[in-house]
Amino acid sequence: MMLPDPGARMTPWLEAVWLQRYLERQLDAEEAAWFEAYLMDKPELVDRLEADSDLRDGLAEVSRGAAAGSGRRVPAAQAVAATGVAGAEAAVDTRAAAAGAVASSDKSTARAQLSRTAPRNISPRRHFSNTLAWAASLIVGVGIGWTSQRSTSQPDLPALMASPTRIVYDAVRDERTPPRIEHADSKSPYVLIEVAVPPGAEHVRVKMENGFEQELVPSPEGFVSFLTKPGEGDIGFIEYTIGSESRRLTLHNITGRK
Amino acid sequence: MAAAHSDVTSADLADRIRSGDKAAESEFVRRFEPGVRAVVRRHTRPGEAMVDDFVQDVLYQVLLKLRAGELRDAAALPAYLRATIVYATTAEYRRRASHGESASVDALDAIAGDSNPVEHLRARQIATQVRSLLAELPIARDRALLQRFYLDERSKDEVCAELGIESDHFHRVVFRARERLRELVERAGAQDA
Repeated sequence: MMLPDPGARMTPWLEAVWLQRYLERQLDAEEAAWFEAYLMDKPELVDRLEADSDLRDGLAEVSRGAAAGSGRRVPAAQAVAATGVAGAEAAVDTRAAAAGAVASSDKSTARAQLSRTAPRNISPRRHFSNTLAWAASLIVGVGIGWTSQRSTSQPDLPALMASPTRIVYDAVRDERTPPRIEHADSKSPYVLIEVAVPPGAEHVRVKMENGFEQELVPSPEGFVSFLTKPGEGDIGFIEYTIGSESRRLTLHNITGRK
Repeated sequence: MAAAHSDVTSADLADRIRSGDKAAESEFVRRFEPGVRAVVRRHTRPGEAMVDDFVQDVLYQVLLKLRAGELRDAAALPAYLRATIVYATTAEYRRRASHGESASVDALDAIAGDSNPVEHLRARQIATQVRSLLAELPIARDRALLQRFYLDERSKDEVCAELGIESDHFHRVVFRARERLRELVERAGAQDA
């Protein structure tokens, strides 16, 4: 299969699709190798990869800590299997105790276990054909773009929605400042989000936790806005740069419900 | 942001290093070190203590090749780096496997642990942050999802089937956990600074 030239930059949304499939271990070996080479000098992709690895390492450490805290001497891999969710929950429940409870004896056992273990196999367990995988990634990616394009033109939606819930965030003030919410009792499934960004903000992007992201252009008044159909408890993020500094604002409670 | 490093191609960088440009060598390390580290971590076990060693070895080996002009297709530099990572990590784990039966646990602990206290501290900090993250996940099923996906290395489809969840929920939980952890790490970094 012909993979894209790794020297040519993909569009952000296609990069996001590739990254998501990579992190979900849904690329085959050839695709994973290509993508690892591609991301090598892309700081934004590297950051996300590192966040994912941090999460994996942290969960492993928590599980080892939980095993140590329980007084059992369990090798790392077995600790993961044995403690499982209960281990993670125990770690949460006994947070203070577990914080410093990685006993040296268990670390030794864990390292011995690691030393006898083969490296992680990046290849996914499922091996569908390269062509199918590539086509699937395109479909997912195109689907994201298509969904964003058609979000306000579905035939079952009214042509006009009066007074949808409107939430105004302010990136200039402290993030803990609650947003202003208008028409919180609106029946519309869509919510109009407006965010005030500081003067000089560039490369403004909204990222939703379902993986969708979109570049936004500030208005002359300094607002970016978008219409979204959020799920319960959804969180979004606004990222932008000012000069060489990158900033991020978390959009809590984007349903606007009390 | 999208055009990071586009002003200097890998081929240009390789040519300059071959011609003895020391600044190009510094640029090579600055440009590829984060990516090499990220990919090394994907090819090693969680909490691997030798990540720094792998990163240094890979960059050094490739730099020697570039100095000697032995990289035929300079444009394939990222792919060559990636191949070197795979070779280095695979060789090390094979070496450990061949010596692991005779090596004492204490000796391994001394080699892997005491040699890198900074990495140990970082691992502890991240573990603490993950605990904080887990504490914010109110639903046990969400914690089960993370545990099965990251630690048991089950596929997304398997996890969804086992827990009876829709893939949208999977994306949401994993994305939120990853972003939340990144926030916690960045916030901790800002406080340390």
